[in-house]
Amino acid sequence: MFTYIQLTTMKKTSNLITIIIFIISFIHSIAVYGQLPKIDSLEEYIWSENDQYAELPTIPDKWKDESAIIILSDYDYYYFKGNKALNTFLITRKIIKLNDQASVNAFSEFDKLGQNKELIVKIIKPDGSVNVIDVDKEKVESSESDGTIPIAGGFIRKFAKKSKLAIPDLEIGDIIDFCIYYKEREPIIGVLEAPSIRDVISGEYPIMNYELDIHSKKDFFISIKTENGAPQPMDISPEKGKNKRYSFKMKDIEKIDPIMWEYTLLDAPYVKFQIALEKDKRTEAFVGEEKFKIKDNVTDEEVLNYYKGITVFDHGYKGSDKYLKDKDFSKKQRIEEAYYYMRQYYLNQFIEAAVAYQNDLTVDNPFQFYAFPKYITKELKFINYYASFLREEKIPFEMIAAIPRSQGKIDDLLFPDDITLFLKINLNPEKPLYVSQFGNHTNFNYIPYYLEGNEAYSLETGKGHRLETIKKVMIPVSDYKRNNSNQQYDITFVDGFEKIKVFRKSELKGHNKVREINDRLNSLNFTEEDHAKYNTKRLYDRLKKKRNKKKYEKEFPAFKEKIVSVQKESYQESLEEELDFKIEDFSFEVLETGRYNIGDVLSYKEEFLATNDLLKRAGPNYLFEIGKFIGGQIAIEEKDKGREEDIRMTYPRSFNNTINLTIPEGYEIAGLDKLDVEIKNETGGFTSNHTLEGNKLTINTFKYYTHNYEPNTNWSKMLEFLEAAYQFSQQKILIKKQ
Amino acid sequence: MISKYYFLLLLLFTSFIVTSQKKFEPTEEDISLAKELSNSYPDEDIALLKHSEIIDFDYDKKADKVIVKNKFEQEFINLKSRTEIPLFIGYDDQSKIHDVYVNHRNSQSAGIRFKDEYYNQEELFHSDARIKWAGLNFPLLGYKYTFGYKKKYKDVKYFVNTFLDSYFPIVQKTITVNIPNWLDVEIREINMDSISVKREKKQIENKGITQYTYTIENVEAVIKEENSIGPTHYRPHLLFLAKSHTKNDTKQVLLNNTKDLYKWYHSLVLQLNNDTESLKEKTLSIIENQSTDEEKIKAIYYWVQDNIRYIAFEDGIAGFKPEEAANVYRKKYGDCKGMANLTKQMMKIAGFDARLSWIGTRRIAYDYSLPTIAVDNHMICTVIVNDEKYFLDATEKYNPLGTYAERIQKKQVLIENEENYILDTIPSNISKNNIETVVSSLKIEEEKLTGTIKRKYEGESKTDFLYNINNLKKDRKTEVLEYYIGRGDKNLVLDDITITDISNRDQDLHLSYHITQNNAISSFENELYIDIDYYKSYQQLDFDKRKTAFVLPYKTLENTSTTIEIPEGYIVKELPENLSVDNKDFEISFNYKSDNNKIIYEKNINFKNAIISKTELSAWKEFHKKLKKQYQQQIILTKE
Repeated sequence: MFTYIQLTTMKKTSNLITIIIFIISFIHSIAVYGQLPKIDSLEEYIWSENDQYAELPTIPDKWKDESAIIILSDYDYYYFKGNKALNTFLITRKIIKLNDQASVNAFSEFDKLGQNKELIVKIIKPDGSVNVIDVDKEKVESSESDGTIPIAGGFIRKFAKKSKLAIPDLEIGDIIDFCIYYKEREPIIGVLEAPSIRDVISGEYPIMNYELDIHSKKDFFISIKTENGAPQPMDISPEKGKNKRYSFKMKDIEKIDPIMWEYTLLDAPYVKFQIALEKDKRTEAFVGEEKFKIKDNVTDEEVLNYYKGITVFDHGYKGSDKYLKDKDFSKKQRIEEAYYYMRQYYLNQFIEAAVAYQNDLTVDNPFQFYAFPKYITKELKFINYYASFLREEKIPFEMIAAIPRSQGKIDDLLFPDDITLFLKINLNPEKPLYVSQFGNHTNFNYIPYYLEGNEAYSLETGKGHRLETIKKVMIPVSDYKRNNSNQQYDITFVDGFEKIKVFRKSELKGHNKVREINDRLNSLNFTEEDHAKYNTKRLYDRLKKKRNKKKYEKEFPAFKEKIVSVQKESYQESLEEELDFKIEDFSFEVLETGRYNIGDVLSYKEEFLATNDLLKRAGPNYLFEIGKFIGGQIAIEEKDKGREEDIRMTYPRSFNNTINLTIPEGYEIAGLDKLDVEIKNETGGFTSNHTLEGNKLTINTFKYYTHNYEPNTNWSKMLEFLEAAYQFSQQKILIKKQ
Repeated sequence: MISKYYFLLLLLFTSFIVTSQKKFEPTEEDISLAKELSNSYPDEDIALLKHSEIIDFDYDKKADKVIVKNKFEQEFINLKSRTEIPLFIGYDDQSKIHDVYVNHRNSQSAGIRFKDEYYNQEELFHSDARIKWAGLNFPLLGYKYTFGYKKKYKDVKYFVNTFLDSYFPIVQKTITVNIPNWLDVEIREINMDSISVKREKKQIENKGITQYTYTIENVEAVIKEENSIGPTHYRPHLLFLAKSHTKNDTKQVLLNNTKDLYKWYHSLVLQLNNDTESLKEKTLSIIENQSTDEEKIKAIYYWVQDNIRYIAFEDGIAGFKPEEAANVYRKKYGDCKGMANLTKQMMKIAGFDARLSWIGTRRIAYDYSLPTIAVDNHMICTVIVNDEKYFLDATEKYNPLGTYAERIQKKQVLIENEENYILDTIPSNISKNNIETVVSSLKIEEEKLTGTIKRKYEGESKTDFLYNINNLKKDRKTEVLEYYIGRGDKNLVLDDITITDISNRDQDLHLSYHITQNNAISSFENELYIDIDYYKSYQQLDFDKRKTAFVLPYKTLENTSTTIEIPEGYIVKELPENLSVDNKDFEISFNYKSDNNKIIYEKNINFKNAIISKTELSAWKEFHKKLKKQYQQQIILTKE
């Protein structure tokens, strides 16, 4: 194996250290091979005399019309320690009955086979004859590159010959039995835990038998948990020796179809687990008291201890002192201003450098012009810094450790990976404020929508700076009115009825703003404004050498121009997708950014010509599909109307639309009565009404979802307003010649 | 003292960088030129200021082959504020790339590193095609690079053509072909009428060569459009026919005529050992219950179609030499050559006269009057029974015996015939044989249209349907069929879908269902407005900017008849006007009439040649405007 260092991206001398470290670790990882569990022949190992699947079970008749049936889905994870690195190897075997051409096609080719991915395959014909595929003979070379591995400041390409295989003699009715042995899973020195693994058992085909075995050692810690009806894992280790084996089996698993407004991890059976080497504060895992004993829950105390070990709230953070000094701010203003200052100081002031580095806009590495560049891109670091500031300001706060609703409930917590941290600031306990890790355009007093409505841990410090107490709290759910999009359309017909001219102004707030702001704003448009506001230096002003200055002052504006034109194209595409019709002569302008206050709106205007596909001729009159202007609406198909699952949505939200239509001279409107609708219930609503004044028709619509969750019993109520909104989107008016 | 020198060295180094940096940047002239070119080519990001290609021929004594040395140099200029383009050079087992460079405008290397990888094409499972590629960033308007490389072909046979145009607009391009006196190469100029070319021919006595120079100026970039015909149909190019050489005073024929080409192809076929023992039992079992020749041929042909997966391989000589039939049979997959050979060998076992046959699909503009390997790209099997020929292309799944896919119709086929060959042509089909008939009987219920729809598919419309439906997951067929009919429109509710046997390719396919089309009727005051045409077929075929011919998958004929019952108490106030068009490539008509209490709407769409030719593009553009208006028109019923 040959390591090739991509010099173009590794050109900066500062990366030399990283290169050196990488080479050492790479050599090391090769050395570990010597300690692989010895399997001379994978075929003999898998298809041995003891193979439980040497004789295949009968496939239940209920699945005879399925595309394929998975007779066995088996995973064997092997963990072992080699030279301070925790290594993972995986042997996975599947036995699948192929019932149609689609499934034959799906399992007829394998790729990326190589030294680290060994494959064995046999085909069992309907008459019982068995054909073991000679993989070495049948495979063909497909590539020499194993992709790239990103490392700080560049990436490294690993060269290894890869092959692919088309399975010979594979036909409808056959059973394919294959096993893949993954021999290397990126071991990293010094890491004390293996990556957490979560496997949703059900999939697109029904499964007769699912088996998962974890082979580890007595001196390793293990966490395993199953959810949503999956049976408990068992410790089936031999009584003697150092080896441990944990096993999980499940039978008769129906396939699943993904459906809207549903979180798979809350319904489908799955297994999750993690192996750790040591109980240490550097271990990014919840580690139990006893080695090798299955840990299937995390106690409050363990969570507290884990975060006690990794939080540092006496950071001595002084970052914003200078900025806040001499400013006549209230306490609330101080902590809010500090947040925005930190967003600039630890993140946004480096945007220009990051852009310049990525796009080669300076001769030298632009980061070298920041004395000691400190940037915060990790959540924990942000929490440490901001909490230290709050402590200095003597403002009471709690650290909230939550898991996204889509990942399950806090009681199901097993890995720290699942946790998102944010701070609850109790300046006024009646009206707490919230901060979470900043991004380029994030706001103070904001809780990520995906955490809302889930139970979480609240951790608090005592008199000192260490976390001392833990309790469970409920994360509040935002109001649908706060998460609002308000769009106003002004529509006129031009060139008779040839084209439709549209002006649209959009104002977004709450989560609707947060979800769109990164797409709508070009960070480079705000760097100047932010530098001036927070007295940080522009990259250009940091460039001392003429060669950098000259290159940057020419290439940066050209780069910015390119970004603006690319963005404009993508806005046009997304608008066409949203409205479901083609547009032309598109223009876009941001009016308000909403970057400095959660309550401020993000607003922008768009102007475009809609082609006359929305107009249909009816003698001297025109039918106009005015309903299309509220955007594509969800239409529930008949088969989904009997939904049995609960409804889990992103967050409560609302959408206002105002459509102003200028009626051409000599015409009048018919069909206005159809524009007045009102459906409201506890789950949400859709209302619309119209006014006609002179030649101006104004339609106001309002659609809202009250909650982020509805029990299945409320589905029929949701259908009422969803259907009303969809029907409105199909609504036409008649523009009638007078 | 040391630090002083160090400082000086650093200073020198720095000033060098400043100077060189300046040398990379565009000059005022470059910027104005870029602006000027951007006005001429507003949709383009990059232009080629100069492009030179030099083609030299040489003789490899050791290999006893005529080799080709192809040298390229291109000077790019950026027409936009900032642009990034991929640079790539394709090659394969028969060619080599060397001396690749990318320079700044001052000739200093731009330090671009090329990656070298297999060229993975989606449609090919495995190929020897490789690319060297790199990303090239133009940071400023007017920024220039020069990109050059040399490509060497190990055998002149594999050097077939070179295109004059490029994927970038060209300010000036020169192709120089140096033909040594010992080599007989014919240069065919193809599609050269579309551009103005300056040609020059001169003898360079001292080198013993004849030099041909082709110069073009101010040529637009190659048009990138979907559903285009193959590039050899419309792009200007030179085709090289290396006929013979007289190196060492002995004349050696290369590819002088079709016979020579056949001879080479046939020599590859003769290398096969054709041990077909393993096919025997299966073949005999396939024809066991078939009595006539045609039934036997059909049974084998369909078996290969159904049981051999098509997987494309293009690997060196394997790109020309078929796989052994026994291997294809064992593996149950193969490329077109492998499938043709298996068909041939099974037919032979069944006692038929079966031959391998080479063919260029409609993507290729050439025919067998040209002795070049570029003339074909496909292989089929021809079975000769008495004087009748059956052309069997087993890669065409669900293709009934006696019908031919559009892509091979009217194409010459070079049929194996021992030392000689037979040249024939695949019969053509007419659109009528591919007819798709839709008969709808509908009535109005409030704002809905409801009723039954019956569809019938014949010929290639049926083959296409069968292929798609049979490749869907078994458990999803009804769902996907509904989607196929309703195209995901939530206004349609489909019930009682019935379909005839989807495994039988010899019968017409019938599909029927009950439909409820919501929001199809708009009622205002005393009037009903009916949007009668749901699919509005070909409305999206907007050729406003199209410049090249548009290719359809097959000759399409769609006959649609819709009958709507007029509800009691209503009369017809207005029907849309009839519309029709008829020209070389398409014949389309829309007819509306009311008859007693019914409205009858008939639409016939006939793409006679499976193409809208370049000459008919303007006719389509004109018709398309009318088509869009036609679809907007509503039928109006009013209360009596």
